[in-house]
Amino acid sequence: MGPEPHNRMTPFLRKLLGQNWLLVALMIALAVFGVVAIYSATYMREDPVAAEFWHKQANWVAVGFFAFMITSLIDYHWIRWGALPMYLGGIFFLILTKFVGQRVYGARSWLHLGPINFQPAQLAVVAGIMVLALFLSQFRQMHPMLRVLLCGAIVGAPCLLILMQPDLGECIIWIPVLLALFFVGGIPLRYLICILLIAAAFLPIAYIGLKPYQQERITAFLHPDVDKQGASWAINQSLIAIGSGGWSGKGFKAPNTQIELGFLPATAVHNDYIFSAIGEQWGFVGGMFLIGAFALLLLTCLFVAFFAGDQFGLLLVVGVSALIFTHIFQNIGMTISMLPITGVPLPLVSYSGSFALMIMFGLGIVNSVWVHRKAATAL
Amino acid sequence: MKWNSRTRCTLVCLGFILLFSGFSFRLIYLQMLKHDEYAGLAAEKHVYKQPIYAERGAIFDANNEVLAHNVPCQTVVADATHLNNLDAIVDLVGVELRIPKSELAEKLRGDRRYIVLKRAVPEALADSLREKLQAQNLHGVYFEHDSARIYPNGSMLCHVIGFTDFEHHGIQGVEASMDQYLRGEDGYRYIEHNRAGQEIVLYRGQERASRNGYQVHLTVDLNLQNIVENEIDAAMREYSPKKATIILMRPQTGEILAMANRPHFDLNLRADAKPEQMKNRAIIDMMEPGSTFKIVPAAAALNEHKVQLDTTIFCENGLWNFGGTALHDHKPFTDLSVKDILVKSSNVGAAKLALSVGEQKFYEYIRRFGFGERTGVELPGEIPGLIRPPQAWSKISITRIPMGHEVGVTPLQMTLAMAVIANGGKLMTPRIVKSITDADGKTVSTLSPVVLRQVISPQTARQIGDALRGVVSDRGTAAAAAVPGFTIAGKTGTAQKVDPKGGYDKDKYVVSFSGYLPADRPEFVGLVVLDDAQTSKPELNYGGLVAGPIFSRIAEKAARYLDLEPHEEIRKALPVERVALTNASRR
Repeated sequence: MGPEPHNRMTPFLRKLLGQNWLLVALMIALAVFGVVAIYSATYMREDPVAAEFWHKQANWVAVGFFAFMITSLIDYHWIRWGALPMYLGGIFFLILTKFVGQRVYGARSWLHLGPINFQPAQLAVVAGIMVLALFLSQFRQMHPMLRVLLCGAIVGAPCLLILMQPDLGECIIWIPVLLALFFVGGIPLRYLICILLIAAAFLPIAYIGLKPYQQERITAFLHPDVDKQGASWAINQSLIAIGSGGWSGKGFKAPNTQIELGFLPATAVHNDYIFSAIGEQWGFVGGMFLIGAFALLLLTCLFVAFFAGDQFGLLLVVGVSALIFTHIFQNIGMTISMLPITGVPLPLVSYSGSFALMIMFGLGIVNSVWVHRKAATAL
Repeated sequence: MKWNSRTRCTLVCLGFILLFSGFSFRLIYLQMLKHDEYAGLAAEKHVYKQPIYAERGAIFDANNEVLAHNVPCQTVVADATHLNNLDAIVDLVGVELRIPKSELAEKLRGDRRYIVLKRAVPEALADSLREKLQAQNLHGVYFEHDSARIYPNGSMLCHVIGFTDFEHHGIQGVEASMDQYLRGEDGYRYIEHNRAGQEIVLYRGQERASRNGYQVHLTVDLNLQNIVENEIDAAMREYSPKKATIILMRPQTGEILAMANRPHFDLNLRADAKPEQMKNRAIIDMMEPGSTFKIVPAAAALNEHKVQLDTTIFCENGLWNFGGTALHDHKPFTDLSVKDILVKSSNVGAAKLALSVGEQKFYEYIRRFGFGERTGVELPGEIPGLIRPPQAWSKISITRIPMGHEVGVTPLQMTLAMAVIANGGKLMTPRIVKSITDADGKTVSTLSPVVLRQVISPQTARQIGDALRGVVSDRGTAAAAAVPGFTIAGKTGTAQKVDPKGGYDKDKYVVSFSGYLPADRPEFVGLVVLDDAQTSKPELNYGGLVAGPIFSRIAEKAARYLDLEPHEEIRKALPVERVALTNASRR
């Protein structure tokens, strides 16, 4: 983020009042609901670490909201100056993680900087979106093939580093984001179809390259009955929790839920499996409200994109939307057994520390595109 | 271009909506259509059938001395997939349970998931280990309720009591034969629990109480058993036979008062016992009884009125050619009364008695005495012995079987046959179990004496009894079996051991003495069998000289313990050496 722009600064009050209030309201609602959901999934736990989860999430949300407001009020055009340093910083941190990162569940993907733990992969993906948006909007006249290849290079570097952690889930995130940016960024459809076909051809090879536990997860997804006590344990428990929730759920903090009894993996129920807790306690109604709220949030984002002042703003918003969408899709899809298990957080709702900050920063960019749409047109 | 971007933006939007709709359908499927199924699965998950363990019943002797009981303990096990700090666990558990660390580490690193680390760990030790594991936050070691079967008397009566396996199923002795009474029934209760296994007290489902195993009271009297064990140990020291068996029985009821075998083992150290030590030879060893068997032809001939007790039979001067084969006596006899045939133990006489009743009748009498069939004692693994039917006999069998050759009998069968004489001709079913009570001491069943059959008339029994008194007199083969103050009836036996290669082994003998006391109103009948006893001179290796004195000592102590009143002037039993000289080579 560059220094405060003096010359083109619109009156502060006008900016403050000109925000996309629906976006703000949805974001706050989802974040608050997330804190409540985390509480409902961990209140019965006796270990002091778990008892702190909802509290910590609330702090992150507060910090994230601050970041959101700041970002909203800064003209997103300044981001172009920050995009590249942020992207390089992301890669730097990814490399750093390789050496000093802490191993969590087999993957070295967390970095501890003083009191703050964060996943550089999340920083990299947001920075990557900014760089991609900048590139695609700046070099519109370049040959599409070259643009695709250069974008591939931009994505490839951090992606490889993330893959080496190994964190397949965070890596997969890039694919829909990139495709959405290509699609909206004006890469002709025939190129996209070609890319998809080539990717499809490489899928079997990719499967062989997977780690055994990753293959196991895919097997567990395709055949959930095979190893109920082992690989399929979590997914079966998640389905039982959600399925037994029924129409209206068992109720907030209801006794004898699968969550309360601890059948879901204690390490993941407050983050990766938060939707199972929601589905069990608030049922179909609650689940639909949540998905509805996410859908509305994404619609609002795309509405912003639609009215963005320029291609750069549009691409920024599409990138952030795709990022959020992919997380939602992977996370919820995993808990209801529509997708294989990948440890991807649910934006704003699940306990994920710095990720809430990242998402709110991203939404801040979206909001900024909205706030500064006229300025951009004027540009 | 811009328009194009916006159109594409809308398409992306439609894509999002489409994919989110997938969620909706999936949730409708999961939470509406399959709700009942998943709700059922969720409910089922919480209910857990917890066993309530029944305690195995104790075993007592006739005087309510404890022979076998249980001490609660824990089995320490490990779930290899739950171990969180192998080295620390090996350190702690190794020290606490006294398992060598290398052995423990090897066990835990194996590819088994469920690993038994140690059984029969006392409760107190298990509790302290559990606390220490918790304090160090070590996971993966679990404790299972168990109970250790304790045998307070160690090796005493080991073959009769038997033992259980790790799952508490009786596999030897009374533990096995009475297992259905001893084992009890485990109960259960349905409880709700969470993943961590913590019980939710809110709800308790149905429950069935456990029933502890019944207690088994044996007929064996530990005091008599102790006497027998001491004497059999002394005999082992003195003669170092390969095997030895002593049985004491109450003839009127068939109650076994004592039963000891050598070699033996310590019940509490059964894991180290060799198969040879675990055999209850009283019921699973087949032996040729030797002259003790002569009571059968004598009883048959008397009972069939072929002879009288004082009928004299020519004994061929100790060498009788019958069927082309010579039959020897250990000493030349001319005319012997039926009584003296037993007293002097004449082989020729016994053969002639058998001949007088004929093959078929003689065979019937053998079977009537209980030979060739299982006695039905409540001990596992009993064998019937081997009595061939007359069709399978050779021409000389009728002369060899009366002296206890060519037949296989168990020591218990031999004791029972002697008890027939002591019990007025009635064959009893031997019994080792006196009664069964429940855990509170209420009688579940009492086993009353069972008369199997009247083998011979009471009069015949009395006549044989008279003759058997003569055996334990200065004239008889077992003067050394006499007990001061009591008349004893009995019969010696000395059988050459069958050589596995065929024929008989010249230097190896099974010596025995079977008798009862007091002769006119028997309180107990006893049998002493020593297999391949080692004596200083071969001519001393005879039933009367080896087994007789052992019986005498046991009978004397038993009579004192049973408080029997001596009714003869107390006279000293002749010392063994003198008897040996006067009765040299009598069998």
